[in-house]
Amino acid sequence: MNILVPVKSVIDVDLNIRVKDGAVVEEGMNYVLNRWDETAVEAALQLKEADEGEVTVISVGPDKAGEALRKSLAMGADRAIHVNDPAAVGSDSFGFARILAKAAQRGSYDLIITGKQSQDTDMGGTGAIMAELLGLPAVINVIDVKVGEGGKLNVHRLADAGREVLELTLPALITSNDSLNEPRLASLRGIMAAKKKPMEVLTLADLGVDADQVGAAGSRIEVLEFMSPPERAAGQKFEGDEEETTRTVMDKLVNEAKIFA
Amino acid sequence: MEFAWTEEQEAIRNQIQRACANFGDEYWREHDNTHEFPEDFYQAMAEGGWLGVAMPTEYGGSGLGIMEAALILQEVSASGACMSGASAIHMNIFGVNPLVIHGSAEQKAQWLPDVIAGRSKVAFAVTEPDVGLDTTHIKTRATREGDHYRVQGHKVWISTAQVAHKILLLARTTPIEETDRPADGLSLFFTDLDRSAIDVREIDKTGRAAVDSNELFIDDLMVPVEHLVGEEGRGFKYLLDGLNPERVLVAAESIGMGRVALKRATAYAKERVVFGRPIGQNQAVQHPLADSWMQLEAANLLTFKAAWLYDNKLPCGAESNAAKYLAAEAGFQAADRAMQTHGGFGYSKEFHVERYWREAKLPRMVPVSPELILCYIAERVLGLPRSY
Repeated sequence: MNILVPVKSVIDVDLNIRVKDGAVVEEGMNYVLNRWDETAVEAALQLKEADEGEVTVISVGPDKAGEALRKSLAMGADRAIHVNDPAAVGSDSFGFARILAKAAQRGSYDLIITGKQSQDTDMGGTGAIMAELLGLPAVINVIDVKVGEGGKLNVHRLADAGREVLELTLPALITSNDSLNEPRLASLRGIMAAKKKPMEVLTLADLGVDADQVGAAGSRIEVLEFMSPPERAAGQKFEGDEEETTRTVMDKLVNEAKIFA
Repeated sequence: MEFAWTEEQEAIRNQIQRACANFGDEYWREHDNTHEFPEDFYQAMAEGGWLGVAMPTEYGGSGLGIMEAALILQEVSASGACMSGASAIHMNIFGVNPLVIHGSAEQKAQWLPDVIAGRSKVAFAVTEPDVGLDTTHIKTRATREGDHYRVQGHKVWISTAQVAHKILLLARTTPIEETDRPADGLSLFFTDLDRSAIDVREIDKTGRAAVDSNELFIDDLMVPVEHLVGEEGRGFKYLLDGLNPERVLVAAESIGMGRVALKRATAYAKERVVFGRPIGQNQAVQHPLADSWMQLEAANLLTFKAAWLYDNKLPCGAESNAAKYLAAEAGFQAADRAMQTHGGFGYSKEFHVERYWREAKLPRMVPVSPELILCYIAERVLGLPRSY
């Protein structure tokens, strides 16, 4: 099975993120592979290991996008495509999906797996829009995936009140929930091997993408402002007799915080 | 001059941090309490391929340098694992280097893959009770008897011997009075840690309790001649090759400890409120921590410079020794100040800094004392008369 995994480099959220003049301060920040995409890479590797084929990772972005690709290669992906074009900067989900869909059409992939959203913007649109542009069946928010009868995929999806079990005919696209798996750590051998794996660098022109339709120019969304979340109010501490404390806490939860309301 | 890490080094640092994050301070506190070898951690390091960082690729290693080995051990130490984490894997990462350089192709093919894959643990048996750093005067004797050597002797401060499968052993094969120089006539063996001939007794000690230190009583250990590394009588020279890189690694480990101590100290100083303000707002608390940060960074520069010199096959004796000196002092001072910042709570095991403090004392004493490093710098760098 040949699998394409779109991935994204995001700011390491473990670091102290600062907002200045309506934008996130990028100076001094580290970039890491988006957590959900890491799950997507792991899922692709597991499917490949259970069968055969190749895992290709792709990222759209400036040089920092290389971080997500190198990490994916170190985990075990076979090849990488880096769409590095200044005109792609500032794309919304639709713009990214357009670029990724064009890139997907250049290869022959049985399955596309991507994270259900990215940690930085939390939009969660790219996967679904990409499937629409490619005319592929898509399952969003997948928590389990296996190869089933006749080469079809058995896919479990997190639904409102439980799990939905679906059978999916390939080619198709799925997006991963982070409970899909526990992504492997890259081993030292993996990191060493990543250097030797093919990394194709493409521009929008190489893909035949019209620069006006993507990037800031083609974006249908305008970011007006970034704000730091308000500081959380301090919690309350209850000490004393266990039974009495439990009553007090339950009373506050039910009548003040109205958790069952 | 280039100070930036390469992409590969960044990736190594990032992944080793994540690998270590699975073994937090509580894991190490527990192993410190129980004196149990951190086997899960060791296996995770083996599976990640970290043990083979500086070992040849043909035996399963990654063929990188001391620079990368130092980076890995520093991050291990800085994860809160301190010397316990670093010492658990130190032997696999670099201890067997004399075997890599001087062993025969057959010996390497037979032994290195197991060491690199973590299937065999190795104890480094050089130090003896009566000679300290005067290594050429060790008393352990290996006497040739046909196709074997018969070994008799006594070793001390031998790490991991409770769990090790193999032993890298230095013994005298020619009596010192029959040699031209004291450094001649010593030989190096890589052989099984045969517990029927070696009585291993653990030493109860201040810190790094998860990794055992031992006294070894060797009585009629029979070592096949095929287990001699390199030529008979040249073992001491083989060991000298490994001294500088060992100092670099210990320096990196010390800085890692200093960093984790400083991290805990600053976090505590920010959140601990006394007299209506965080204690970290007081200069008496801030300044020692700021000073430690500077000391650690300065020592780190020299440590990685020494690593760079070694990897580029340039002389690095002065830099390696100086790095070990500065890093061990800075690491210990940072741990000491971290405890002081915590006040009375620093004395409690729950805050971990007392464990860092106990462990940070270790690299101030091994593999060489700060006093002897000063003697070395005075003599070799400044040209002053030899004092010892």
